[in-house]
Amino acid sequence: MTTGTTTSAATSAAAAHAAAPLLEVRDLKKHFPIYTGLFRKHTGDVKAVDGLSFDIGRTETVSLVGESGCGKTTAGRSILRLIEPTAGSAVYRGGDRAVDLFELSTGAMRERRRDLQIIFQDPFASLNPRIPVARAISEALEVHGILEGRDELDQKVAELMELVGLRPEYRNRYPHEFSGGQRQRIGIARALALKPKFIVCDEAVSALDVSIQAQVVNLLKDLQSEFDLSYLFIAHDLSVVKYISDRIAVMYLGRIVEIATAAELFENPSHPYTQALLSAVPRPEPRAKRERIILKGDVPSPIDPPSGCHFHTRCPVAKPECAQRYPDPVKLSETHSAACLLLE
Amino acid sequence: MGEQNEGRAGKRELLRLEGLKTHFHVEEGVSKAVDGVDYAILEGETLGVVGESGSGKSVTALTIMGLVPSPPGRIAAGRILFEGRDLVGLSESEMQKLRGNEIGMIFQEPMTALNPVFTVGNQIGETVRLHQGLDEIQARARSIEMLELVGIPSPHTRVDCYPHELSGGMRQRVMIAMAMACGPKLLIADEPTTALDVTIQAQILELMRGLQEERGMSILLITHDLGVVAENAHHVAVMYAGKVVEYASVEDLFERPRHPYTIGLLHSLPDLAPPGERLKTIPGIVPSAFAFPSGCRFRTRCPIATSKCAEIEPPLVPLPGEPTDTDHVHTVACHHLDEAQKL
Repeated sequence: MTTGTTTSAATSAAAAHAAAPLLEVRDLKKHFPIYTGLFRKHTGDVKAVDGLSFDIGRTETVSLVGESGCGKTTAGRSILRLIEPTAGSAVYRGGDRAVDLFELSTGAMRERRRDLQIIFQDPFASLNPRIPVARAISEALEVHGILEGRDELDQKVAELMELVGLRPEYRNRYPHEFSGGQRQRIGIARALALKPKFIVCDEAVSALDVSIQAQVVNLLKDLQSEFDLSYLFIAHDLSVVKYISDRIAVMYLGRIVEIATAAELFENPSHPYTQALLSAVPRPEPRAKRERIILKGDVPSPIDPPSGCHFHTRCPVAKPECAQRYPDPVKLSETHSAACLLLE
Repeated sequence: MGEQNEGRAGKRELLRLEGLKTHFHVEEGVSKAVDGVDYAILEGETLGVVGESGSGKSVTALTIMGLVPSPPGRIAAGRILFEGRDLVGLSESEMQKLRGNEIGMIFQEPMTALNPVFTVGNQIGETVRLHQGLDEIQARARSIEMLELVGIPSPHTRVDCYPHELSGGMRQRVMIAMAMACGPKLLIADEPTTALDVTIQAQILELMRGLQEERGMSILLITHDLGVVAENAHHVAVMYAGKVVEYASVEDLFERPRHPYTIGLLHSLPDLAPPGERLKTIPGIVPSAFAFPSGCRFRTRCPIATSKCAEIEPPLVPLPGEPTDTDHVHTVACHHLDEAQKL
């Protein structure tokens, strides 16, 4: 009897664990301190990421979009602890039980990184020019002691190269011998080597020409369905984001101003910043008549963000009270919320 | 830019390139970066030049400006007719009179194009002092006037700023102010908004449209962003491997693309793809400028290439049925136009 209850309790706990999001980010903050003067006095903080909360489901693609300086890259790197977050939590459920990545020791985190990988924007800058690609790809396998024998490694590298559409004969070539698109494939092969569950794609296709970009986007989608991957896709190109994402979070000055499914966001953008951002994207339709919202000025400094709603200084519909307090997120549907006083 | 159907309504040609070839003689061999480019820009119009990295679109622009370093660069053939006058073979001092005065240019990365040790006022003023003989005080007044024109707030104080004190969007505005200071007839904009965020890009493109309307200059807009071209150009030249493969009005190009490369480019845009479906791609990569394929250069990536494509290079000719009395018709370089329409 008792055993029965325990088993069923354990089963339902396991079921709940499996149904819960793969990653739950809560109140993520990353502040970079500023020191000035002879005595390096702490005079302020760059609040690059200032309270970010979102979930990423299993095999889901969530995108962070926004302009330079909005904190999207810092957010991605903080979650992987490539830079140490200032506050918050990131509960990861890829293993048998949930762990907060931010609580792990350095050693435990390193172990966990097998599951959590990143692909960078510029594959030229992220590959060592003196190391042949086969070694660049197999490095992680060796570091984690997964494969030891030369033959086994060789075979695995060949498999990975084929998987991302590179010819295994090129294994001994150096990064400069590859084109931009091919280098990005090398970056992807590297990230896949450890069979991760979650990959941060940090502007992974932004530097590529459109025909090559389409090849890499297709590859990312194929790999996602083959290996049940979850992606955090960080990008500024909204047309790629619309195509690849399940859900999209729009960031402005370190915070999420709107989050929704891709369809909801593009059909019913509700935050004035999202509306301006979407309307600014040039579309390949010469005859389309468009109402363009042109924002005035630049993004303010994250050292001293505007009071109240950070966007009020550029917002075309701001009211005096927008300068008073930061708006709470308003739920517009099960999957759609936006933080704007005009919606409250 | 407003009415876009007036390509043939009696506008004069400002610039025409005929068979332009710019080759680079380097250790590894001869790089034929620009290898037979033909296009024309009408007065007061914007010509969009699109193509992937390595297609030769920027080198073409530098050749027009006379800014290709020689050696290793050399104009191997062709003519650059600016108001009917051939710029190929002009002396450096003659080119200097044109540059900045009649033809202005802005670049992708304004930080590398601006001199960090001079104020923006200094740099804008230099152009007008050189070309129009203005003195120090007049040049400063003109600089302030130009900064105001390009929408920089409080131009009286900004004129004394150094480039690093300005944001990326502001720096691109300063570049435009410099390029516009002498009232050029042609503005060459090489990826002017590629390094900028999309809301800032919208500001800069809006500014360029306004300046064109006000001053009637022509713009050569080089970009890889088909959306930017669709919304800003009157005519479009599509470049591939050092050549123009298709030239048409912007509506024709997007609604009735005829070259397999243009069709492939438009198909690979995620904008136009239904969600959930795979993006269509162009297989392979752009060939190296040291060894272009024989015949049609696109044939190695083309889904409908035949043996004819390897043997004979297709000429850039008007589509059948287009009027031949004007040069601003839809022209395409492909042997298999009927097949291409089924793509």
